Amino acid sequence: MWDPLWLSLRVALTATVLVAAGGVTLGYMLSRLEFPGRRLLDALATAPIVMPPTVLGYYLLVLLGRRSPIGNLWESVFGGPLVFTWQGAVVAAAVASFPFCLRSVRAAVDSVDRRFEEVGEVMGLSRLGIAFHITLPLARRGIAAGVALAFARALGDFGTTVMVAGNIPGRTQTMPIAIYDAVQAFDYDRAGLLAAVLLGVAVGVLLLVRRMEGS
Amino acid sequence: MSLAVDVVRRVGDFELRARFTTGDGIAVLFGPSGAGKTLTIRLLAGLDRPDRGRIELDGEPLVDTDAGLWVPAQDRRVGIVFQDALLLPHRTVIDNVALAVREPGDRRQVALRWLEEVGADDLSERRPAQLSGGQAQRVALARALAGGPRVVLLDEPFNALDLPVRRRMRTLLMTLVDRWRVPTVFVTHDPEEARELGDRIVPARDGLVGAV
Repeated sequence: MWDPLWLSLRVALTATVLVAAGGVTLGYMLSRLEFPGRRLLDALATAPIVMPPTVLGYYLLVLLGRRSPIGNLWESVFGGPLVFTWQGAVVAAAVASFPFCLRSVRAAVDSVDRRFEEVGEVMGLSRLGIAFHITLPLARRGIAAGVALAFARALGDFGTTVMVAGNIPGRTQTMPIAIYDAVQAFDYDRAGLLAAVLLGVAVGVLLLVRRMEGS
Repeated sequence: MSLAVDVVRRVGDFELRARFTTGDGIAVLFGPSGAGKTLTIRLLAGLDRPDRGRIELDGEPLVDTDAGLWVPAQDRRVGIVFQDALLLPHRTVIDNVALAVREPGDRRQVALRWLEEVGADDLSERRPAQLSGGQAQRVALARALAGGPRVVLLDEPFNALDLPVRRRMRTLLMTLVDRWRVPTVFVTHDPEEARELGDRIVPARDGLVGAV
């Protein structure tokens, strides 16, 4: 009964760690640095928001499948395929939730008063020093909100995950997929319980985000 | 110390021509708003680049457009105070000042010494949100001095303060400049402030700063 919950938490938390690291780095770069291909990178990273989850999942399946270079590399290093594993579910959840974190981080960094950074420059801090001592701490509420949103999105992902990781009970069957399974089997008690748990987590995260953005 | 400025900078329709030299003590850039005083400070700090010209500190060029030379803000060793104190809200007072200390060793110790110097050592563990405007500017001044600057730039730093606090801050600034012999460029549009502080006055009007 609780397998899907633990698996979902494990997948969503791992994905959130990856998303937070990548989202903060890229969000800061897009907001503060000029480099070639910036707009293209921005568009690519944001695309999962507007893509149907199954389409995103399909492309990930092609990109990470056993016959792809990335899939091959993964298999030669870890001795098994990436797709249809919980790690595959992590990749799916991370890609699907990445833009939510990215947009939030970028908006937060955009809103940091540049004069604080100028004071840092004059004080002799390096670009990295300014980022870590000044910009990111000043943007921390927006960053935290973005990470929380990404977690909620990763926890709730269905379409992308089911395409990349499938629906293997105990191995890749996350909460949303288990809900779908339960409904298919007319087990509405189980579906209702799992759905209530997910809803509770989602509302909790939203309240947390509101609080972080508001205060 | 000698500071020699001879630069031109165009921003949109506005053209700044700044030409002046100054030595020890306080040089006041004095003139109405929109005269180009703040832009001049930004050029001195390395936060903006002139279109052409040269800035020299103690005979060493910081900018020389003819030679294609540009020393970035990080390497100029200047201290700066704006009208807003711009203290980092997530750090305590002492950690704000310590961040500016360049010499190796116990940075907090150095920071505390400068806080004592500006009479703000009792505020060291407070957060910026817990400071009055005058206290915040004292801390900003300590931060500007803590890096061992070759020149201190102050851009209308006391404008937002009440008159009695302003007077006390001026006295403090004069004492510090006198004791530490830190060459200072001070921007103001207030004639009383200019008269009281200025060892020399550099007039600014309509984009012309100094004897252009």
